[in-house]
Amino acid sequence: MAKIDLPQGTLDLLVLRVLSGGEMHGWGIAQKLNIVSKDALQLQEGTLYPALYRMEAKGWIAAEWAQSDNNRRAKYYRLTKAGRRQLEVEQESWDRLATVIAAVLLAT
Amino acid sequence: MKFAMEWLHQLWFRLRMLFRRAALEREMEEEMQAHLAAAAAARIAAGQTDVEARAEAQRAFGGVARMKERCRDEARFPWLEQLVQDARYAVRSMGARPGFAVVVIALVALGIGATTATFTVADFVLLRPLPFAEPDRLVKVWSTTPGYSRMESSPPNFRDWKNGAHSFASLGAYYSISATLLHGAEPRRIIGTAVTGDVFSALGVAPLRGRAIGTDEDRPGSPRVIVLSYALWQTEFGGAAGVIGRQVILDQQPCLVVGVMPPSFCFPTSDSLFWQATRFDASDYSDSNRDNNLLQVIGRLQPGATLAQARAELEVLAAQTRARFPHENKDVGATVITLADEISNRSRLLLWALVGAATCLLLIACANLGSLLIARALSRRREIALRVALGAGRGRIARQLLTETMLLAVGGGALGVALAAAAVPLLAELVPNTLPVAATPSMDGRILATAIVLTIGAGLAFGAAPLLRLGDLAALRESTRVTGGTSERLRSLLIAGEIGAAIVLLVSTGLLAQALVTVQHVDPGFDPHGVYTVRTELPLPDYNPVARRQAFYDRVLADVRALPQVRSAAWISYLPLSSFRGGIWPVTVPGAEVDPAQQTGCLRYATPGYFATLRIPVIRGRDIAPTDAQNSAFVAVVSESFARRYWPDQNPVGRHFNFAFADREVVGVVGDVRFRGLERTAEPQVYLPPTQVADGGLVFFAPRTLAIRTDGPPTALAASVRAIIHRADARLPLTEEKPMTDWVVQDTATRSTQVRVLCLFAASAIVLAAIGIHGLLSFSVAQRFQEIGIRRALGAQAGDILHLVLRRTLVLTAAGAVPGVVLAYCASRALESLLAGVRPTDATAFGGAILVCALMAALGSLGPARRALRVDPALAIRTE
Repeated sequence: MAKIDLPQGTLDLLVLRVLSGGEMHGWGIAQKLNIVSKDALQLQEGTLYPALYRMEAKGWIAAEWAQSDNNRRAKYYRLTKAGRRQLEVEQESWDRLATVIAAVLLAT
Repeated sequence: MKFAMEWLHQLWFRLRMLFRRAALEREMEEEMQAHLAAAAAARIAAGQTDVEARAEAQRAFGGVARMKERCRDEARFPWLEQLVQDARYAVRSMGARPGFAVVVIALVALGIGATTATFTVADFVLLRPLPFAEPDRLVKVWSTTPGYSRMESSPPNFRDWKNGAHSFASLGAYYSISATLLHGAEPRRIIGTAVTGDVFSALGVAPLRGRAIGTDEDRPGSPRVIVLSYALWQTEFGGAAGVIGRQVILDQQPCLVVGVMPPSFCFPTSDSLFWQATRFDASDYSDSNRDNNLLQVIGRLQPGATLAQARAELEVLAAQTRARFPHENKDVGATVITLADEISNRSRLLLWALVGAATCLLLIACANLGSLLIARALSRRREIALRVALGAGRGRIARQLLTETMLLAVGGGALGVALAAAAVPLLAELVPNTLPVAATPSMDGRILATAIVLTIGAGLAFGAAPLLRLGDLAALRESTRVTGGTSERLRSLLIAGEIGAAIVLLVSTGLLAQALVTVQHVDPGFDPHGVYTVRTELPLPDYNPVARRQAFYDRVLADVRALPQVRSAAWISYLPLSSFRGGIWPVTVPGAEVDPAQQTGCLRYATPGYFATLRIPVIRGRDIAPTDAQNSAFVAVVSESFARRYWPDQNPVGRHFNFAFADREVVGVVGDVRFRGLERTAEPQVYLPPTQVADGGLVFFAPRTLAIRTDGPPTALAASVRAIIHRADARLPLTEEKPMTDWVVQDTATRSTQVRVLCLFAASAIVLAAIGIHGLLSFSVAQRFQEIGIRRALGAQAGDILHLVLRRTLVLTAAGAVPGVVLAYCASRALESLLAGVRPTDATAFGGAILVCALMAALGSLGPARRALRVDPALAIRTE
């Protein structure tokens, strides 16, 4: 099966959703996305980082260097209050979009 | 709200990152390498080989460098950094072609400089409000007679009108005075103004220190006070704060300093260095003084009163005085004009002509600039297309090109403003000396703002030119030969416009230059060459007795005539074309059939030898003689026009007329002198012996200017003449020590400044247009390199090739010249009043302009034509 291109703007939503489960480093987020989506997403892993920087700049997530499980230094990202609110907003708008599209597709 | 918060957070984040750039780079590297290592490790664990795992992890990640760049965009100020980067790139690419940058900067500087400088002067004189409170409410009241639309008024008339008028909040009168100030070691002669008590309240300007002259200080008994101008305060008193309350000696009278005016205060002109109260007494206001027209009158309109109301009121009041004093006030009316309208239409036109010329030059410079940048854009199309193909964003390229032209425009604009600032003081001659403003114009913020807007406009307009067909990928496939149909038509249009504007400038300059020469060749009626002049003051009351003055004149003249090389010398009231050109007095001739309004003559007292000194021809009769004494018959020498007016076709010698309070017999007729100006017709003149006047009478006209004819250089006399006068009276201050030719040159100074500036503009315009033609033809020859080669190979002769190139020049020149000539005709019509009789359709000016344009076009096409002739057919066909 061909992989799916991520629609514009949805990467933020996915990253926020993944981080809502607890703090995580970049590679962890990528791995999680691949596992959850069962490798169906056409995602260049590197594009995560500009998204993370952008969201950090906007104050949705915060970053901190810490020791990882295998005793290496890693940069951990976590959701802030503003990020949690943003997740709700984006989740809701995505749900509405999905409902509307489904309704249209079913009706015709 | 949420958005604003995010935006602020973003800004804070970026600012923080600005100071930890190195850390950011390190962290990005560490984070991404960790990611790659972990991804590879996971794949190795899944059974892939080391090399495969690394390669696949890399592929899944994407380009590390590109990701880092995108991260940086989030953490920095990309537009700012790009701007710096663009500017650096622009400077580098300019450095690669310094000629181009220099030409562009020079063009912008020339256009902006010329417009800024001329507009500064025009704005200073014509547009800027005068430096008084509510200047549009200030008016001047003038007496009128059928001969003069603006005549001074007499003290009693002024007082009657002031008491009768209701349209004015205040109405004051003033006249020019000069006085000898004894403060330092040397006595100094200074020019000032005597004002009635209402002048300062009408002007409404607060003094810098102390107070102005009060409303009731103009009475005869009030204490003598003086208000200093800022300039006098600085030069004579060193700007000392304690000057208020100090006593100075002015014309031998102690006088209290009560105030200092601010530097911007010039009234009635910048020449006035101090102000005193008039102190008129009953005799000054008496009816016998009704025709002593010496006062200028300034007023502030009552709130709600209009100019028309004031004018109507003054006309009624003047009619009343006319009815009461039918003899003294015969035909005397009154009118009111706004202070701003005092400037003559000629001065106005002169300045607007310069602004128009500068605008022409700006347009020509812009057209050249446009043409140049289009050519450059075409030659860069391949470079740009290549960069687009290599992945540069079009927006980015556009921004970068715009940065480049903007940089050039700002450089040129700054240089232009600097040039203008340096040039403006040189244009001071263009400021009419009748205005209550400083003698030298100053630049203000509005002018600078206009210059900045012009600069940015030029930058944007011409920055957009290279964006034409930006990143057209077809350019890559094209050969090195570039074609540009539309842009070339646009360039041709610009060049034709340039030629048209150059013709307008050339014709106007030619006409005004001819007018200048015409005026300079006007015969003033005397020979100014070889004459040295100096003016002194004769302090009153010491010099009131005629005998005392005569003794002084005789002593000085005897010593001066004894100097080597001196031919003759004489004293005169006022020299022609010098600072005072008035003195028109009524004439009564028994039985003469002359329009009463024209019964006037210009009064001068002259010692014997004056006509010989100035080489004014004595046509009939004799010069004033030493024998014309107080107790002998009163005589007069009159000018030719005077004799013609009263005794046409008769011998005027021996005739009598009444003038300056006495009956006079004509003993001689001399040539007319243009004493009011080279461009004014000669007023009838009357010369009287200085002995034939009452003691203390008409002292304003007592001769105080010494004219000396010498065989040597006039200025060589300066030191000895000064010594002679000071031997006669050591107290006398000397002014106007200069050769007579200076007065004559000064009379055309405004005109010659204007013509000099116009010549500079016209010369620049010609050079620019020639460069424009050269550029366009060079480009088109380069473009048709192959075509020309093929033609040569097919047997075209040199003449055919020349025809090919020069036809373009001819078409361009004609296309520009025809509308140019039409516009030039309109311009010269508008300038007619400045042309001093030169016809606006003057063939020399038009023919000359067209010839110069043709010459310039030929010169511009010389280089390209030579290049076209040298095309080697073999080489041309092989190049591709």
